[in-house]
Amino acid sequence: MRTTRLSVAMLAAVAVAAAACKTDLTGLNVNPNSPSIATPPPAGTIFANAVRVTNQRVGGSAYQLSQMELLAQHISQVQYVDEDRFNYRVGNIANFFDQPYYLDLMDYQQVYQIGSTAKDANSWGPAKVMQTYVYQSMTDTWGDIPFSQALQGMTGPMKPVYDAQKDIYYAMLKALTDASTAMGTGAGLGSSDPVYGGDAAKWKKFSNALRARMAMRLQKADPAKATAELAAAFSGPGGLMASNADNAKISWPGDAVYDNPWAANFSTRDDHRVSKTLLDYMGPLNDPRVPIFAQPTVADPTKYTGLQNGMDNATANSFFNTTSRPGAIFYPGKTTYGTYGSTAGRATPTYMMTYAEQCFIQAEAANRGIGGLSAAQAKGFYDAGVTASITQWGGTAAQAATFLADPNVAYKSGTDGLTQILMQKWVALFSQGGEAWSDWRRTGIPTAIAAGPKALATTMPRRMQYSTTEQSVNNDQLLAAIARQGADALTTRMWWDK
Amino acid sequence: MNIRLARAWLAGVVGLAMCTGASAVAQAQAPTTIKGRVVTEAGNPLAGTSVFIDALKTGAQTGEDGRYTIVVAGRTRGPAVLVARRIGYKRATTNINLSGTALTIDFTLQSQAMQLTGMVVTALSVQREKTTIGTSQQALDNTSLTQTREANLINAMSGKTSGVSIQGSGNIGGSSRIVIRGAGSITGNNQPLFIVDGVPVSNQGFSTASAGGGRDYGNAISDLNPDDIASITVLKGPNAAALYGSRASNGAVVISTKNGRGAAEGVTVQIRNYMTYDQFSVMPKFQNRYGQGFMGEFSFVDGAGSGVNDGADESWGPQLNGQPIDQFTGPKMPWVAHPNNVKDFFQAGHTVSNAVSVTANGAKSAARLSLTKDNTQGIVPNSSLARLAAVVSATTAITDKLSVSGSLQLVQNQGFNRPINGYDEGNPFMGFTWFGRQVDVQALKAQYYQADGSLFNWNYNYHNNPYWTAYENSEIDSRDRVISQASVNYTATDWLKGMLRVGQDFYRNVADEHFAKGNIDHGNASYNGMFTNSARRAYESNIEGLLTANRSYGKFDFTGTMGGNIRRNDEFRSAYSTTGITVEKIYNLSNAAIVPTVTNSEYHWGVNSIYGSAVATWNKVATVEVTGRNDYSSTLPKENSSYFYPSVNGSLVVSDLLPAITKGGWVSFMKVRGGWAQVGSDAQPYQLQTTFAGSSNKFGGRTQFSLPDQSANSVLKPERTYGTEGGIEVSLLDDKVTVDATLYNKITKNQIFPLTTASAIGYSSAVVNAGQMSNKGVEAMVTLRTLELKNGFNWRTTINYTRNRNKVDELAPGLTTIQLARQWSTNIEARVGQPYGTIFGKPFARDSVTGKILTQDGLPLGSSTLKVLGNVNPDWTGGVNNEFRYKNYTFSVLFDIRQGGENFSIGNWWGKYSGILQETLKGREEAWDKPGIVFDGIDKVTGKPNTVNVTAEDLNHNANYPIIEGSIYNTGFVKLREARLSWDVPGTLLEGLHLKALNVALVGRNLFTWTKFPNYDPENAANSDNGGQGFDMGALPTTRSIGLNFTITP
Repeated sequence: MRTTRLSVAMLAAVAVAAAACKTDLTGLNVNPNSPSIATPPPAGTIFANAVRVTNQRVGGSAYQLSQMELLAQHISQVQYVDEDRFNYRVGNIANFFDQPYYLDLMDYQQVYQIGSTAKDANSWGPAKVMQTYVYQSMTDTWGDIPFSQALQGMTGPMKPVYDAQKDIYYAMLKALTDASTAMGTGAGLGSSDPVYGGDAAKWKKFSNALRARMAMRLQKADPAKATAELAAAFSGPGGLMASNADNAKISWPGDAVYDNPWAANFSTRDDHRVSKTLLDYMGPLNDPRVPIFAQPTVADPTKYTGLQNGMDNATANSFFNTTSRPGAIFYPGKTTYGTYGSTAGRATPTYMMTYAEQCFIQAEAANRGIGGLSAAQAKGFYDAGVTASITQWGGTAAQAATFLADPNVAYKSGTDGLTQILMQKWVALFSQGGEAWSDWRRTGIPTAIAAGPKALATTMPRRMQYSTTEQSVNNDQLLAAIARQGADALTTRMWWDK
Repeated sequence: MNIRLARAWLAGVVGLAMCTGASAVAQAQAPTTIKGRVVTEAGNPLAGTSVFIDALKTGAQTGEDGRYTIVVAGRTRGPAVLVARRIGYKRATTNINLSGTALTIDFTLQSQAMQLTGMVVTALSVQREKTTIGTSQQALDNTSLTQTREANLINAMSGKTSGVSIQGSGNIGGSSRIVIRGAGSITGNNQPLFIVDGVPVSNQGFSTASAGGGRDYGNAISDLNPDDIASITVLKGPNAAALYGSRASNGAVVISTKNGRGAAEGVTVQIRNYMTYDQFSVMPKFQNRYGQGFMGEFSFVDGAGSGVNDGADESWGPQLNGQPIDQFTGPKMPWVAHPNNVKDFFQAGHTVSNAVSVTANGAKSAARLSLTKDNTQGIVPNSSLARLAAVVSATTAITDKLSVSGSLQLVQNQGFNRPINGYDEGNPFMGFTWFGRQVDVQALKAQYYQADGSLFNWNYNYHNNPYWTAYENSEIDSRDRVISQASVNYTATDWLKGMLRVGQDFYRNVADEHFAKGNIDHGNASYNGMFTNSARRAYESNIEGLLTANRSYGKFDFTGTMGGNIRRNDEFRSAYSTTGITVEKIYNLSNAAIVPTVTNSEYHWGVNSIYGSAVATWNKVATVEVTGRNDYSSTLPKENSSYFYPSVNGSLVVSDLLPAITKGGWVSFMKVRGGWAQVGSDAQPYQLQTTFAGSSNKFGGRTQFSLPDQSANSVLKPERTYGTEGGIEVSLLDDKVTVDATLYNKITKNQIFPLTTASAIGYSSAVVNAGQMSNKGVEAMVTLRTLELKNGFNWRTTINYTRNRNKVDELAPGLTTIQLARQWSTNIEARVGQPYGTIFGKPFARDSVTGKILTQDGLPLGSSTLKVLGNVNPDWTGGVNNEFRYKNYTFSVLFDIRQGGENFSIGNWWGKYSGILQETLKGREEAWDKPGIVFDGIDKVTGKPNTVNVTAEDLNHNANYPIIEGSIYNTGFVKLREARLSWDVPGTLLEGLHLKALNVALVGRNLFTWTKFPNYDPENAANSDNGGQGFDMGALPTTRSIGLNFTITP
């Protein structure tokens, strides 16, 4: 009896203990919520997300509107004027540097790998072009950045080296060449592709145009490479953009989930005005884009007045109602921003590269006589660029013709012509301030761009400082880059700016 | 058998040996036999009592029946003093005469509560005599938890336990953070495991509150009703808790609920009623000389920038001299201060709590049923919280050998309009940080819509009318909880017991938030409002089998346990939200104007465990315990999923081993103990394989997938926590003073955490095993019977002290810091060589020679090199409780002390920037720009002392932002945490009331705070997460509560 009782008690407890000895529960650990890298979702779903993310940043309100556009002096800040005074928020700068790698570049890499495995250039080509587009905006902002060892996850170096900007440029030019060459015609990523709906022919044009943009960037530092690459780009496989229909842009759904980032910002914030530098140039020329880029002032609805960059908060604020808000294409209908407003403007596209910009690159090449073009061709490209920009922004061809007929606008050759090309390119790059800032750094045009009266420095920044995160996690490589490139300062000029 | 008895026995043996040679003498001197029984006041036998004659060094110890026998050799004759002593009881003495005649001497010992003895609950709910335990633990009884009726169990523990750090919040039903012996894990949950009646229960935090907004829905352990808790044992650190496994590496809080056992026989009914009034405890010191605006100017047109500075939400405007100025309340209104405009917004909150319990206790069975209903009205208008808790527990002996017991707790919480936290317009306190000091809140209260239906407010750029927020942006949340457990105990033989226990903890947490049309900060301004819903349900089930063997061999007692546990966790989360609706105030998905975002996810994980322990006690004096546990976790890779960890501890009752030290009456008890333990921990589920994250939002109709920011890691190993501790327990001066002190060292290695990576690898972080963090410290508890008078006056003091030194020893190779949280470019970090929770941000630029702050144009400059500006850890914490009893009255008062530690006070930071705080008057004593301030610094250009005069406005805008250094403050405080005056209504009065007992108490919580921390409550934190420490986001202060409690036994 005693033995029996003992066994009953033992059995109950031991049964549990024995059951608890089941040693492999790892079958429970399969994530039921998401597909894994081993069985990835379709490449197009990854591409669509990455393109959106890229445009929300590069075309977005923090990076573009409140950073690059201020440097290009298209836009100025009427309150919270820190960036306009070069008082940059360390955290924001860190995000601009860090986020592209893991938010979109890594996803383009996945699309590239899926496409490469499937030997489908029309899938991996667009991913490569987009990735190069993002890399270019990054190296133009910081100079040397991690590139050759980047995007390998935990299988590659955990502390990727910073590549010299020259090497990055050469590699990017090659990547675009490879993409243009490999892509054919056909559906590619199909309707998942938010840029061209899978039209590989258009991706080839974008790739060539981007190659031309990068080549022109090398005009000062590496003229031989610049002219060779310009020539190659102008005759690249698949040709160049031929009209605004070829623009590399995304059209925002405007469904209030995914809106034009500037429109989204303006619907809740009222921190920006159009820069005095821009309107002081456009206004006297009666540029038809003035009422598109700017809204009339509250104080005087007949006037478009720009706000000077780089004033202190209180002074800038005193111009609240006497300077122009950014254009109604983003946030129309009300002169006072705030709680209610129209929903139009949300679908305004974000431009990555336009036919107009390409025309101005060609015009500059022609004016300089590089890339296989001659000075005589410059006027044609200039006129095409101005016309394309005006119509791109909603003006008419007739307005463009009138504008171009103005003696102050009509193309003059030589150095004056070069200045005209670069000034009109600067205007055309409205909302793409990063590119405009790069052109200013390379050419010094517009000459009116200068540090504001209350800026923390007397000269305009030539680059941004590196991410503070890198100091924590990749400091040795960061220091090597700084040793090569120069102090991690706003004033340090990068390779193509020397 | 104690040492004295052993000696007596030895003496007897020697005596017997002598007797054989001298029997004639022996016959002439017969021994004296003394027998008797020692009982408690209640008449229960008291085992383990020493009964002895000190002068003769002879004595005995009582057995289980309380009986003892002493034989005194016959050669000893004459008067002697017989002493009965047991730890925890007053010593008793009787004069006897040794004559050879047998004596029967019984003792009744009066209880003398002492911290160092008695039965306590240890790991696996095993009850053991405290003197045999080699680890540090501390028990709290029901009285100490419920005396001021703090509904949150964790808050109720504040100041009462050493080694335990508790951080409450002022949010209605808000979360509290409890950390034992310092944070051990860099990014894991540093809070202890909670065990209720042997079953692990969740203390999941539900706060969505962050520095940037969100709401604080409290943490799950607050579901437990303090009234239903019989006792709590805090197992401090891995040593005491090793047997509970992985999740107890941060210690464990073992809770026993009342089940009727121990109550008076028969049926007892108890009714408790609590009413408390809650007030805002710490109000910032506002300035009342300047109103809204900038540079001394303001004139209202549309409150959005069209007038003169009328979009401003700062108070740098005109002096408040009663002059006519256009305002939101009308044109040419007198420009006057409203000094109480913040205070007036908050109302007196109150809590009404009613509890009824019925206890039945019989010979074989006991049962208890309790119902508690709490209703709390918050200090923010229109916010409330209700909790209904029903608990049934029962235990019965089916046979002598077989007993079953079980309990079921049903808890329903319902929150209504909990205010938003942090930097969000839904936080009224944040709105008052960006404020016009002239604003009349009564006008905002009277009206929040204009005639045309649009909103009425003092500012239309950035703010909601706070009353409108409180009444129009509704929020409803609920948490339903079921905690159940049942166990069968079988006593197989007198030395072997078996136990089988199943437990389940389930909760469902749902929160709905509605934001009305026109709300700032939430929703798309072009639509008519928005709403969110989030739901989570979680299950944890445990099945445990345990065998306990208990045998004695001579002076040795052995206890062995062996058990196994099967745990499974399942969690389901879902949420939907839209940022725009079509028809106002219809918060239904069918009314979504913007495609809703929908998410859902599920998590499943489990751990199987086998474990055992062996305890050997020699002569009740020396004890050694070894434990071991092996876990099999689902969350680690197969090759690393099984991991074993041992512990060992021992204790020695020195005062019994060497009774000599008790001579002289200074030391009456002394025990030393020490232990070493290791605990392994697993990972969160699904961290081994990187998966794509999808979104329900289609981008223009396109499905979107993306790699996550964080890389998985397929080669994770278990975390290891090592604990070493040594302690001493001393009772002095006839137990007038007791000290329980512990030195400990806790090291956590191989931590599993998301390591910030160089983002260029394609991920911003990767889950890795790395890092080591250590906590060294002292915890001590001193209890004093400070004063005892013959008239019954009795004063007792309890002092707790904790000093923990935390250090991040290493992170990953080459990595010096991990960011735990970030606000405005200021980080809370785990930084190598520094304590966990370092505040890292922008300091002033300083002159290298004088150390003074550098200026430019009269304004301080910030340095571009960020540096450590402080850390969140206190130097030490403590609690002092004094209890005074006299006749039917008890008065107790508890001070809670925190010395040192810093935070980045965002409330003060913005409060200075916006010119609302009193200190911003400096430099504008005469006019908005007069006399100005010549900042005491060194001009960067000239290298000479600054001479440039700037306005208070310029200085506050530029010195405080973005230079964080000026807004780091010491968070030390002394709080009068609890005070209670209670009166047991005397029996003579009760008869008329037909009651058996009635206690009336006047109670107060958080009555006063002494602190150098300016303007806000230093105890504030954004939430109870690791990273929530170190920022105060203008969170609501802990409330000051005053109330009345009635405890009625009919």
